[in-house]
Amino acid sequence: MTPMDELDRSGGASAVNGMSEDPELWAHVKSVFLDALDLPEHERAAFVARTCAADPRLKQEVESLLRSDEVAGGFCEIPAASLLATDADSTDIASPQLEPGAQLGPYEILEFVAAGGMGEVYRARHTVLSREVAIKIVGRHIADDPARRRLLREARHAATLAHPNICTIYEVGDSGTGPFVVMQYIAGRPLGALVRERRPAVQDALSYGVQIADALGHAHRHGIVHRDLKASNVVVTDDGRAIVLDFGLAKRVETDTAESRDTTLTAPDTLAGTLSYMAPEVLLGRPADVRSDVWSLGVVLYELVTGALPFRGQTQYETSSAILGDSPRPMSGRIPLLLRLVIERCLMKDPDRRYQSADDAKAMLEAIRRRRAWPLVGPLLVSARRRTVYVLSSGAVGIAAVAYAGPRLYRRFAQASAIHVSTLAVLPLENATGRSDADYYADGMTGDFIAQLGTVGDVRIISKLSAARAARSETTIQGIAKKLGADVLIQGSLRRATDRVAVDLRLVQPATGAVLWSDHYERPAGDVLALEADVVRTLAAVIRLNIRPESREQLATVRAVSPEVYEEYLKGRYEWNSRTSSSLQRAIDHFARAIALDPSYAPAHAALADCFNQLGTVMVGSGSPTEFRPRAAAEAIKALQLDPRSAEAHAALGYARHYDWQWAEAEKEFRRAVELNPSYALVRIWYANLLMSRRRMGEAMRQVMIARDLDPFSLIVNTNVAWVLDFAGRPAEAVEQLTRTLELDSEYVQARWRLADALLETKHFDEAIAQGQRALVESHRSAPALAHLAGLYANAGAEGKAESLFRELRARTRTEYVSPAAIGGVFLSLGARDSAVYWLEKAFSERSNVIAYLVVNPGFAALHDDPRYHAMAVKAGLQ
Amino acid sequence: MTTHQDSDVTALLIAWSNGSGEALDRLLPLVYDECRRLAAHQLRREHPEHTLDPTALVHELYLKLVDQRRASWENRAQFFGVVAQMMRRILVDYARARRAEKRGGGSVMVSLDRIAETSHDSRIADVLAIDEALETLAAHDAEQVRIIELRFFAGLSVEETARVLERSPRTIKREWRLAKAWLYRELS
Repeated sequence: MTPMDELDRSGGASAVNGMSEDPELWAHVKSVFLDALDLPEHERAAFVARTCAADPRLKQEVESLLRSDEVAGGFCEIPAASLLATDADSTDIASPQLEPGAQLGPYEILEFVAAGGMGEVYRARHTVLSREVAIKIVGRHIADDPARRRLLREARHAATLAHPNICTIYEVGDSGTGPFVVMQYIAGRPLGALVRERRPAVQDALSYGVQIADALGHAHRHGIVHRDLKASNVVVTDDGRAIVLDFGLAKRVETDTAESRDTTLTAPDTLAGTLSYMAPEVLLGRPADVRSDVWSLGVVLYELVTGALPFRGQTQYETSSAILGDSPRPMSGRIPLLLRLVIERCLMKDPDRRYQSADDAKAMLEAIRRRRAWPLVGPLLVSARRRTVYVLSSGAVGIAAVAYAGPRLYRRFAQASAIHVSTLAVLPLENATGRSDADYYADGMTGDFIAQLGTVGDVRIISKLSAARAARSETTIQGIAKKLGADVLIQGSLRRATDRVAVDLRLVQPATGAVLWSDHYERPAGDVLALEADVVRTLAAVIRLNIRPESREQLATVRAVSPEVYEEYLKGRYEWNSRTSSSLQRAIDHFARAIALDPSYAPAHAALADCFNQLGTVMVGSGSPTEFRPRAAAEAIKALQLDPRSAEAHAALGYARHYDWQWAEAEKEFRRAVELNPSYALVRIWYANLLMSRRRMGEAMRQVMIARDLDPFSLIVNTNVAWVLDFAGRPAEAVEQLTRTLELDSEYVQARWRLADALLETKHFDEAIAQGQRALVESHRSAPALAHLAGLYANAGAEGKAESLFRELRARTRTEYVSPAAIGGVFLSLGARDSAVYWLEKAFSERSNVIAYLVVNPGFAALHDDPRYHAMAVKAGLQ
Repeated sequence: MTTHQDSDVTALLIAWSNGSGEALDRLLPLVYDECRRLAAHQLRREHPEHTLDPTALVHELYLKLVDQRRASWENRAQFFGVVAQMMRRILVDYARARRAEKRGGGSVMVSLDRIAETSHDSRIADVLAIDEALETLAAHDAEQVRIIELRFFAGLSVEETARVLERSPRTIKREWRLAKAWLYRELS
């Protein structure tokens, strides 16, 4: 940013004159202004209003100066001598050398177009072919022949590139006035100007991004690195094509002109335009490679979606240190999460952690553009947190200082990248007791660590199940970490005697295998929670988590819980994870015992609420929601009375409220749970369900995506991603997603049911039925599975088979609870509309979960013209 | 105080520090000539491999003219203060001369490149406008003018400016923001 940039855009500021005649006013203005500067920005207006209440002139002056201060950041920061010297250097460029009508080989100059750091650009015409071209006269300052030849060789090499998004180089020559490059004349606008004018829509930004990445990928495959990609080097044509200019030209010219990289760094004019796009390693003087282009692509993308640069400073020095040390400025939540993740990945300081090719970045952008990015989310687990901020001793002006400070800065940068943690996975604690009956204890404690780490800081914690799965399937820690996208792993073991618990933990950096930290904790069994709090506090310090103040308090005031209570709780959670109706019953027994021993133990109440919520569902449930849901809500409320900060309890309450059609209340609970523990994947899933009910499909998709980031191998999470897709009218993608989910665990019946449904939606009847049959077997011929398969048969036209299964289902009602929603569903498939409505109304009166999806479930499409259906939807608050 | 017969910059500087007005009168032309020579040299960029950092120019000048074994840091600060004013004069003169050379000027260039977005003419105009605005500012706040001279014209850092003016860096930082805000508004 040069001062003139600032000036050009400053039309709005108003100059108030007359102050010079009033030194007293000025003194007053100065003092209020300086005091205001000391305040946080949001407090300034009020302060000025208060202080200047009696003097409108003073107020106006101070306010106008503060407004000016906001925009004057980079103004005057380039010293006068540099401004003028730059001028001295490039005056010759500014006045075009060639007049219109001049001949350059077979070309006739038509007009002067522009001047840049590299030379002049003219519009010209080939006199024979009568083709319009752009001619750039480059590297006129290069005096020595080898450098000139090198430039020409590079440019000729770049001329071999033929790609729709690369400005074609037709010819490279050397005239008396310097080497020149003849290239495609593109009528369009530089992307930089476009962005400054109006930020493109996300879809357009994605389209430009894909095209630019494609161009880079093509060039890279031909061994050409751009080295100076920036918004102003991309021209967008009227029909939306993004074309990258100056391949293989820009930096080569500059380096050759300056003869060494060091001088490139110190010459203000070569850096002024490109510093903001420069990758940290290039800034530190290492050669640019493919991944430096990926960085620049990230900057351009960032600029496209936010309208601003990711690294900004008031001076070049500050900008450089931001590039080297800071995370990109946070992007607005309105930008799709996945796109933000892609941009952040491009802008990783360490080239090894970026996309290793432009093609990879392009694939992601393309996937987001087509809205089918979920299979790729896993490997994308990166985040940019403002955890490492470097304070450099100021005192030098300009880029020369950075070049000078280079090695020192780099060391810090390297050290920081060694312990920068954005994603953490806790591997299952090893049960070193030697008795398998302590497995649940190790498992439960692992879960507790994860839950607690998730609540304390700003780091992504991989869920327990995903971590466990990866630990089982991979043999090396590198493999595990790679699979989980984790940059640090916690491993450990647990020993338990009757009255004592001992835990050994270590923090491992997978890339190097280095143990970053290890420690031994031992406590009386009754103090196990205090032990956990100790561990979490220490870990937080080691990996530099910023513990939220309220969590700090919580960690400090952990209460003791008796070993028996804790044991029951852990056993219960172990059972809950399997989530079948019999395992849920066993879980309830454990939690109930825990509560009997210690009625004030909040986690047990919250866990009990989760069990009751599941027991009231159509597919897993063993009874009417009217029986279970009130108990779920009551337990959740009890848990919240004991511990208002329990994310689990808020989530469980949200779940109960959702299916009781208390939409606003449910949403409030879910949001609170997310706030308390952003790493709690299940609450995202449940929240997504609520959003689906409300037909907020985009938001639902966002939440399941976040859940998937947190828990990439979770069966329920992956299944729910597909569910959202199906209800969003994208069944084919749901099929793909579910097939992949079943590859994780072929016995996960929930996924198979949904797969059958999605296949039915896409009219693959035979395959749908095959899946339904398998699900029936795997669920041990459960009532919901019978209803489900009967429905599939009916939809496929095999009414005989449907009715035979249906009879079996009806017979079950005499001996067990069968959800009326399941029966209604079969009637609906059979075309018996009145009976279907009759049973749905029964489901309605017991507030079956199915009703919450009345308006989004495509299965109910046949009822859309039925007034009774509408009446239900209205009563449930869905219409 | 003793009157100095020689043209020893160091001695003159010390004498001036001790209150000798005559020493200053004799000091200025010596420094000015050298300052202009160096500035012109760098503005022409005869040695592009040299840094263009204006701070370096001031330091170079000091190293060249003053014997540091004899001079104190107060002398150094005063020297920088003087040089900053000189730099302003030299650079403004230079900018005026450049403007006079140009025939029409004022044309706004279409830019393909951010570097070119600032036309050179407007950079010159920029420097001249700042200089003029400082005349106005001088009437009610000479301290602000000095800060701008040291930061913008001499290219000193906030810390160096603070040392020259014997103020805390924090104060200078805030005052510099006020100065920029005022200038920015004035030039808009």
